[in-house]
Amino acid sequence: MHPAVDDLRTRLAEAAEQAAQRARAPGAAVTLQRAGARRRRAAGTLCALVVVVAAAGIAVARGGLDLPTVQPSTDRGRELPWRPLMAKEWGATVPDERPLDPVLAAAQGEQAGRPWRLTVYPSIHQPAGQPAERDVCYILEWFDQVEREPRWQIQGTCTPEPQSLTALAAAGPDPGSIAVIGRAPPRAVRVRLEFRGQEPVETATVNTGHRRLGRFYVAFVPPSAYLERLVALDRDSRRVGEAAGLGDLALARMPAGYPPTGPVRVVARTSSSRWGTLEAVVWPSRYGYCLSIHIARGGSSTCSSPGASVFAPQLQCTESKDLGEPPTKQTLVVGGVPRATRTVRAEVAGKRWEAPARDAGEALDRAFFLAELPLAKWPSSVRLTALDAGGATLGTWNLRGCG
Amino acid sequence: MRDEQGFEEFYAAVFGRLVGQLYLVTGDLQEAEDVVQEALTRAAVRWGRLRDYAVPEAWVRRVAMNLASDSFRRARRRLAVAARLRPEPEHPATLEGLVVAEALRALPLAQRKVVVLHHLLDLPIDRVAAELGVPVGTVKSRLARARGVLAAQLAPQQEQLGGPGGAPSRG
Repeated sequence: MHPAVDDLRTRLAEAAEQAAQRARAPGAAVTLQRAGARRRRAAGTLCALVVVVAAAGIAVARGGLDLPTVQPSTDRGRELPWRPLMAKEWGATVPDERPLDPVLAAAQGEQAGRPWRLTVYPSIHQPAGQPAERDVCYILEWFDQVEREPRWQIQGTCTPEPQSLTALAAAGPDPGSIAVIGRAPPRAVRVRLEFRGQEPVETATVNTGHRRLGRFYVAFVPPSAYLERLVALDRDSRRVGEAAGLGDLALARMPAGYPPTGPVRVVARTSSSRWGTLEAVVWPSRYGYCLSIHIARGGSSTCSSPGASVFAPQLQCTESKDLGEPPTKQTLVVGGVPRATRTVRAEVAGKRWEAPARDAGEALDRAFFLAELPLAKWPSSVRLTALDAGGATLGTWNLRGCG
Repeated sequence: MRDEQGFEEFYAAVFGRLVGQLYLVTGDLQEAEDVVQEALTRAAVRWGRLRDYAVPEAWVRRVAMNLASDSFRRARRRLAVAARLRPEPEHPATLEGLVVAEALRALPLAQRKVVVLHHLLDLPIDRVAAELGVPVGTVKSRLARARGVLAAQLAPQQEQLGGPGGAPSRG
């Protein structure tokens, strides 16, 4: 067996244990209440089931039609073991989104030997205490034909209905390509993806035939592409819409939970003794900016709560373990500081380190820094000071430690 | 009342452990919590029968694994939902854990399941096959493919462990 797999059980157990420690249990009492409510509802469910089954029948019929297939897919109308989506399923599981009918399979095809399907539906978006908003949701599903495993990859997003030209970077069939999917304005018959330093790609749009859903597009591009702009074109090649691209698509594909609505950018970088190159990555989402730390060779932390506060200087404490060695603790500091900042000084118990800060430009209106503090233990507190090119103090922050 | 007390004890004993296992399958902590919670809710509905099972936890795990397969569960992490803006967990994720999870994410779901059942839970091949409802040969082939991918994913990291330092400059 390969040495990397020899220790697999230990590494899996550690990862599972960490997840178990971080898990938040709603509690047995809540679970028992829900179970009781389900038992009471069970008797009244039969009528509702009849309605759902009827809806499923319609969806099957729609899925069996010769769906429009966008370029550059290679197959058309292939029979696949696809189960139709039902709005009820989504409604039961996606917080703040209330899906509406119809749920349509808008397009399907095959890329690099893997079948895919684009599914779309209208939805009402209403976070607690907020006004309701009409959304359009779209999902790209990949299927594994070899093992007949339904859906091995699925990514999607919901965007406000009036936003007619959108993009989402999703996983491609293999590491050699990325899927860009999105909505297109009603009159657009093509969408042009304009890249930095590469020829643009044009893809035909798919008309769902539904007034609220409109048109969609799918394109497969190399992961190294930098998507600068989207341009929607009508039959006469006139521009009927333009939108900012997602930037570096390899980065744009990474964010989990809060899909980017604009360029994903690396705003700071550092070298870690343990992880190699680490990058601070920021992107705009529907709910505000997100920031995460990305390991250049794979993996990233997640954006847990988008908003203005994600840019505040913060401490991130992690723990890791070499094979056969005791665990070691790492301390990272990351965040945004005034644009004129050139250096961020970190102080812990009388020791000082300095890290460079890089101006991220007008749009973000901040400079960013990322550094690993060479500490054996997590600190109980860290004091950060932002310094300009002349060494003048622009701001200070006292961060509560993890220790 | 006795039933409820028994379920509460069962819930407290298994929730975290199952979330850890499902996290390795789904690659997403929130999704893992959700599928385990849903599976436990279904268990609560049937607790009168399940409590007599030799290992009720295995039933809950199987339901959670099935839920993790469902498209709607797997899609939700990618859907742009305001969802629950939650405070950071008390125990931060370690980069090591993220790397292992990332390596697993490179596998198709079916292969992740056999890796977790066989390598994490130490279930023999025939038990894995029974739990997933697939032939023994399928489990073996999935394991072989998964090991190949994981070896490639995890090997470079091991080579770099303990490498030269690269801490920020000292002031």
